Amino acid sequence: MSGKYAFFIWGSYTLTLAVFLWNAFAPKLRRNQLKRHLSESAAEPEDDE
Amino acid sequence: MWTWFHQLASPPTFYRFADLLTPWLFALAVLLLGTGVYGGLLIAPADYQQGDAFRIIYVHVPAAALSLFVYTFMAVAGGIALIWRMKLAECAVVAAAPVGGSFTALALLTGMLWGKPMWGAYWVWQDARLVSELILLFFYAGVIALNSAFADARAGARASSWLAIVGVVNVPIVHFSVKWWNTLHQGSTILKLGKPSIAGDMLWPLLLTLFGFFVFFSAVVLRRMQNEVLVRERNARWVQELIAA
Repeated sequence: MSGKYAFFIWGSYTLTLAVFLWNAFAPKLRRNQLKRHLSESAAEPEDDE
Repeated sequence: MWTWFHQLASPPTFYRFADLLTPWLFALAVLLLGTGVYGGLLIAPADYQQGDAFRIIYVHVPAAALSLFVYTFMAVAGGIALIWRMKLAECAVVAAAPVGGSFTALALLTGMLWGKPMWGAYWVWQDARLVSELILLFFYAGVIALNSAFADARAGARASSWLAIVGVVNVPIVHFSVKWWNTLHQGSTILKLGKPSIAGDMLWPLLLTLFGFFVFFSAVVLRRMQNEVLVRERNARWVQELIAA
């Protein structure tokens, strides 16, 4: 890859990789958080306020 | 066929279907993107005018195409959610917005990184394509913000659906901006009548990355929809069983 444009090319591909990683892992983290939250609230007694 | 679609609209059936499908979609996306990026960076010849800088096309064009597609998808899902009050359609609007927003931001950023060496500027306010794409990003941000503004998930999804429908008017403006106004942007390369104006050696990696971005989106949106389904159905027995398992 020509050095003249290397920053622009690799910058674009690095940003793309970051967006892909965020999109791939954010739902997984959210699901783990949700499952933990749901299992905690299922373990607690119902609050009748 | 219709029976199958009706069954799929049921949250537990959808959840299990998405669980089965997403690993295959992720694997297919990795294969397509890996081959496409390899072809784009190492096999496709350098452009005679732009040199190697043209290789940004393999991430910029798919991100831009996806940004338009996802918003249209949200508007269609929003219409279904408002007319038929279908829970999964509401989940689709809410789930797709952050994915579409991230790819719109990516299209803008990679466009800026491509624009600087080619046009001499990262940003040009007079360029209708850039400005209309930025407005699209604001619509995505609006949909996400509107959804979070409501304590009730269904009310938030319905409000977001309205904004998705209103904002879809911007999609053809983004697409046709290069025809309707004089812009720095080049015209369509693939999505146009007649033959694509790109050499075959450069085209096939682009088609692979384009397809890979769409497959990846399908996998991510299914995963996010599953999360939305879990939130909405948290009191249902099948969710309790799933959590307990």
